[in-house]
Amino acid sequence: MLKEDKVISIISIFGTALAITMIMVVILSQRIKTTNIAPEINRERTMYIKWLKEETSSSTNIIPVSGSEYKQFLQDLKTPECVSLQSRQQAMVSVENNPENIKADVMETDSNFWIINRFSFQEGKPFSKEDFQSGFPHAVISKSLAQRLFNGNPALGKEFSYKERNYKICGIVNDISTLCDNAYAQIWLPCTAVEKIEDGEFSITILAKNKKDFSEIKKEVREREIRNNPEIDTKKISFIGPYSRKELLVKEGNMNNDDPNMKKDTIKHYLIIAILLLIPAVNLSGFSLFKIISRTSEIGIRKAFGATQKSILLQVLYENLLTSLIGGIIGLITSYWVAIALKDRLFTFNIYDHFMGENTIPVSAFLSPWVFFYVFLVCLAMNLLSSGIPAWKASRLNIADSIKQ
Amino acid sequence: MPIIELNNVHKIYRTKEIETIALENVNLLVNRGEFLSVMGPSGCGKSTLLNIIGLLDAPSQGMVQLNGRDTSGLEDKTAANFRNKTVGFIFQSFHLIPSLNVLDNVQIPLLYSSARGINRTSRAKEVLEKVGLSHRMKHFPTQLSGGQCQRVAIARAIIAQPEIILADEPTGNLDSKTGMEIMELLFGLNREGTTVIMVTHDEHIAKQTQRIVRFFDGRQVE
Repeated sequence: MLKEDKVISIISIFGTALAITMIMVVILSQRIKTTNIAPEINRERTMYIKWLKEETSSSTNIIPVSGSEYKQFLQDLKTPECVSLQSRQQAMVSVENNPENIKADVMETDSNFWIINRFSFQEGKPFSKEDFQSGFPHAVISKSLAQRLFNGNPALGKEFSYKERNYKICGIVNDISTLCDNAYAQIWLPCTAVEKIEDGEFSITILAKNKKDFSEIKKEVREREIRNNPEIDTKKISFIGPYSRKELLVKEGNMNNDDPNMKKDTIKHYLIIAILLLIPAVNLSGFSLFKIISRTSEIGIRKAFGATQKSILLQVLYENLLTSLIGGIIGLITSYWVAIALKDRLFTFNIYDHFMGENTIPVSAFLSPWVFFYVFLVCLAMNLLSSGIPAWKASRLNIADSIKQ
Repeated sequence: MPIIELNNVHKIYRTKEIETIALENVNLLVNRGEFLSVMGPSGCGKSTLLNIIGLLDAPSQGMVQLNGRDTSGLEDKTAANFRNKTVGFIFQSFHLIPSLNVLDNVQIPLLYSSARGINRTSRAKEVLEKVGLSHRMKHFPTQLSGGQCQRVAIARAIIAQPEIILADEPTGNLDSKTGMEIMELLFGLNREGTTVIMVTHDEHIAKQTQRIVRFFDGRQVE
């Protein structure tokens, strides 16, 4: 029957392919943001605080976490394994004997950063806890930046200039994909070497011993807020978070909402995903339904010349299985292409972040055959149901009536 | 033994509001090899009679026997087998499948029999030769004239060599010359031993057949 109506068959195949592509890309964009990717190998037990709410008698502001608030409220949390702070910026760096100023993504952080993230060191090692505590100007840089700064010459132990201070390179790491939005940079240095912690603004990363501790960590942060808000009458500080990776995904674009239960955000997020997944699937079902209804007369003619209800049903199901299979294969290939073509738009937390680096992780790494299998199964089931049920009904119609339609 | 026997057949169409009697107490015997015309005004139940004989529809009451077998309450598979092997239908509007070419349209009945692919094709070519359309095998219905479409429909009806041909106004959509050519084909089939029941409005054509049965308001009047 496939070759009998080529246009309808082609539309059906590409409809299936499109539905699978759309669903795969949506799932892929979710997976990429939550799956462990080196060096962010502890994503499933990491929590984040990016903002806090400062309430005074006259105003309420959502502002970044300052170094002093970090020290006052978060530095010595007891429940987590460790707490780290990061501040990322783009700045010009330069080296002696190279007149070119190079723009680079710089992360000012602490030594716990190296515990939370596991980097692959080409040479050297990370800056130490002592370096951080003393504000010693050590830095880790990426391999490609080292090559650019020193024209391919050895870089370990050499110095570069950042914010009018020289930093000694203590380690060189493989380039980090921009998909690792929390660990990504081209230069990592102790924030204490740049300025006093109290003067900076940071994102806070909390590594739990176990993801089961998340609620306990949240509880401890809330306790700290109560305990460390001495000027509660004049100024009250409450942190937005900490949130797990999955919670951040839910809250994407809605950081002002500090609803601790996140019920509304979660429902909204999964509702949007469900609609995104349902739209192509329902369209596909609608098309299958239309296809069968438009063939009611043909079904009647076939029955008039000896087709049984079973043979009609099997024929329709076989045809749909075949179109779904071909559509599935095309869908898998196109979802891979679409994912690659749109990776910078689809797979970053914040599309307004313009990193100097690249996404060095192939999208194929996230294309799980199981995800494809389940997506294909859903599309196939919808295809078979949406064509099988009307085909079954049409095959039971009075033949004389079917032929007239 | 008659090949077709109808005893006290009624057909009533019911909706929530109205009840329409399409056939009322029809008794009919058709002998093997007979060519029978069914006549009457529009809406008198001629096509309904043909549909019931061809198992495209079921009577509301009464018994229909084909080849001596009662067809009431037949399982889907057995009824399909009757439609496939015993009866061949020719419709006024041809009812060819537009997405299939002539050769594929003609083969449809053989798809539901035990005929193998190669035999199907050679048999289809054979019957197309018989109806004079062997040069149009790869054409689609939209590329054919009305007369050619009806020839394809006849080829489809006879490919499984049924004992009975049921023709529902086969010349109704054709000009008189083409109509006569189609009638020649039907007379030829009848001469070969096929029983033909034909619904027609054309008195002249009906008079050429062996017997005329007339209907009025669902009742057999002659």
